[in-house]
Amino acid sequence: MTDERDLDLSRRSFVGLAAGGALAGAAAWAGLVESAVAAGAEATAAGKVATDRVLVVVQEGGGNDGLNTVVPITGRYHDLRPTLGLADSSLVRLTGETGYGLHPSLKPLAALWGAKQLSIVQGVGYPDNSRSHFQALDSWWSATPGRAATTGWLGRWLDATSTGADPLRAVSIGGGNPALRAARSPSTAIVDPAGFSLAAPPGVSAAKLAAALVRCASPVEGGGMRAAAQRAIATASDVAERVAAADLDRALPAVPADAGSGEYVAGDVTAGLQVAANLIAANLGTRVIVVNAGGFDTHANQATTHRALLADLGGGIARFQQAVAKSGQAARVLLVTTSEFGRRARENGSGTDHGNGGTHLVVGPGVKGSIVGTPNLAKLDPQGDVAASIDVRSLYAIALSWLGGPVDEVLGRSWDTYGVLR
Amino acid sequence: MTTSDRSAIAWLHRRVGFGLAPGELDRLEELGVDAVVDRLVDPDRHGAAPRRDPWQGLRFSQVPTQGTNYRAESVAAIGAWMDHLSSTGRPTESWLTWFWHNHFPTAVAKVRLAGLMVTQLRLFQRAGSGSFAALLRGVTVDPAMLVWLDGRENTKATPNENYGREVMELFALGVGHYTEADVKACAAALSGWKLAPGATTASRFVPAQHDARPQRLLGRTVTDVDSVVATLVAQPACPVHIAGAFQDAILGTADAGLTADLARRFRASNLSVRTLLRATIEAGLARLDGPPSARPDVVVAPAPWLAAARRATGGTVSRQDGARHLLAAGQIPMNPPNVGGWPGGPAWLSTSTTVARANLAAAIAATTKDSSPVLRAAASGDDARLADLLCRPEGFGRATRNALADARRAGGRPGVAALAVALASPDLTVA
Repeated sequence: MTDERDLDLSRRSFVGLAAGGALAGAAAWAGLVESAVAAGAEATAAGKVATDRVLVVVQEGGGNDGLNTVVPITGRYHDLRPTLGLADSSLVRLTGETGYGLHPSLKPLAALWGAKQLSIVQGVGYPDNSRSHFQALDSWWSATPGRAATTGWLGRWLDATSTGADPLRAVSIGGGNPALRAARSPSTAIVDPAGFSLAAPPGVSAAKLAAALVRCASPVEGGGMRAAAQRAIATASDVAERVAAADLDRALPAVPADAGSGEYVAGDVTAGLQVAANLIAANLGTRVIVVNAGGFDTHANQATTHRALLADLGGGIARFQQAVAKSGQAARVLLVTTSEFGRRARENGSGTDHGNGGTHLVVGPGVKGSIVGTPNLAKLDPQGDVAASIDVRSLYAIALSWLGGPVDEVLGRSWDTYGVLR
Repeated sequence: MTTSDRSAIAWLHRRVGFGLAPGELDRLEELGVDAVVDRLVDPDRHGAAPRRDPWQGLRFSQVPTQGTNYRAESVAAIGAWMDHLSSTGRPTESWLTWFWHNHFPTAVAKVRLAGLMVTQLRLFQRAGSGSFAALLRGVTVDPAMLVWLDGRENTKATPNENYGREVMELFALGVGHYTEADVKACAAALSGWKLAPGATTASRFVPAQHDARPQRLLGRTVTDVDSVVATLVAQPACPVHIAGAFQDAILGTADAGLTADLARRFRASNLSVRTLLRATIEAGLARLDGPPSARPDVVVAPAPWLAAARRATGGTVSRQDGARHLLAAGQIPMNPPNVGGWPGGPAWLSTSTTVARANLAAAIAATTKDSSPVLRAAASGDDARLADLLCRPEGFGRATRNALADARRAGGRPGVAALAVALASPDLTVA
């Protein structure tokens, strides 16, 4: 976990001064930042529309309960969920689909299903699941289950496809995400877009202070974490400048009033997707965005908690789709959910314990609009969980195919994509 | 070359403390390293200041009632704790409180009562250097933990596995040292613990909700919290797991041979945390003269970094700005992201954390008084003195010295810009 290579940021030309030190550090840096910003502005001003595809991954941290997200319409479900079970009559119907309905909080997604922009993949997981959050997360972010890795699946994609080393090609929102760990490619983490700029004490020139700070990056001294800290300063200064121009705080458009069910609760997903939509509109060359959301570890009091979580998820996704459509970018974007595991099929009274196969959404104009995989409640795994019948790497293969691959290089070999994409 | 006492003492206060205020290093150097270690590890027997309660004078709601403003109480409680960390007279006791907070990570966002968080942290402050078995017993029935990992929902009729799993995976043994059947057995034996009604700083055992059937846990028979804790701490994996966590936090290494040695001594001491702490510190001091690969840099987490910056400079940051920047940095004390705690290491070098650290540095520098020796050194260009005052007696690297020279030409009150750069520099980002 403490491999420094995920912070090896030295490829980009201006960051390269960190290694050389021969350039007039601050001036060179400022000039390069200026040209980077100018290039972005030019592209926008000329109305140049980016055509590169974008992947948005929404991480439902804690292990989302798939069975109460996309609900099987069967008596066995109610046997397993005597108190947490959602009445068939309360489910959001999916046109043309009789086997499943959505949690009432996901009503905003019904229109996406109707427009064939929502696909559902069920029973997603790894065969050897210890039910540990952290072991499962390690397997998910690395996509190398059972084998320690220093790179994540998205980091390997960045390495395989990058020509420079622009930290804004991949952005993690709400904190970092290990899926972006790369051997060579840096990435950006944003928690608070409003605070993502360098401030200066009263009377101090902000530009001169920033320029002085960047000089700490060069020459690189020693190795390990200290050198990584030097490179981090160069990257952060660069990214802060460019992101400040992108107005990431703009609110998402509201979905029509009839799309929500009851009270809409904006949370991690909505906030993260707001930044994502603005990033895509800002045209900064971002190809991969990870939105980190949490709170899905619903061992207790699940009914209330999950209702709010899914309202945030469903409402956030619907608003995001509207925003990218409005900025003319919808055709570029595919959104995929991930989570370390599903939850135990049988409730524990007020919640559900750690389970196995999970349910995931694939959203965007690029999907066919289908349900893939069946959670077989008649044949649960030995722990009483939905089996992991579709490998996580199939979900990733769908995502990577959208980006144009190379799937084999990133995931070791090809994986069935179950015809999810058009 | 042998590391000087001054360097060794500074190292101790970077790794198992929260830095030093001007003048402290001079006084400690006179004591010598051995005496300093004694005082850090066993403050009561070696003339340290008496223990202070960081939350003295604060009042907390006892029960979650409608209208209880848990956020305001949390901000006050976190602020008081940060104030304490930046001024503590018992640095390693305070460091251990922080360490256990990240080992048994509990978040106020779910607990929803700042008073419960404070009760848990007081347990860490009071019992954090004693017997690990007692600490584990205490945290298992701690009210905040009963809320955080749903122990209060764990009853005979509706067993809840949350705590039963995490206590083995994260707190005591490590993944791979138990089975799914052990998780169920552990949960059953721990069922029936609730918050005491009305006064939620206490917990209570409710026999009617306890599954009293004997359970088979890790090859032993258990029936209750005492037999569960006794079983867990008797596992060979337990001292190894805790020794590994200490080695990682203090030394930044994962040397299996050292872990085994530390675990052996920890076990021989009947799991005395003080013994493990001293052994880990001594291993670190011995390595200060070794090759750099044996003593890697450790990235300082944002909250301890802020505490050390405040201690050295006397500068401060408003509660509101502090909370905003710590949020952006990714570390609000009392609110870790999940039961695994903060990710640490390279995660604290992300763009978001780096920008937030620079902004906190600017705020601290802006509030540092002209009379502060640190600001005077920053203004005068005496970089060696500035580094020494910031707990780096070995001095800054060349890149940072160049940056400081540039910063002195950035305008503002003399020394402020240079101090902001020094605090945010790579030299202070790692310990």
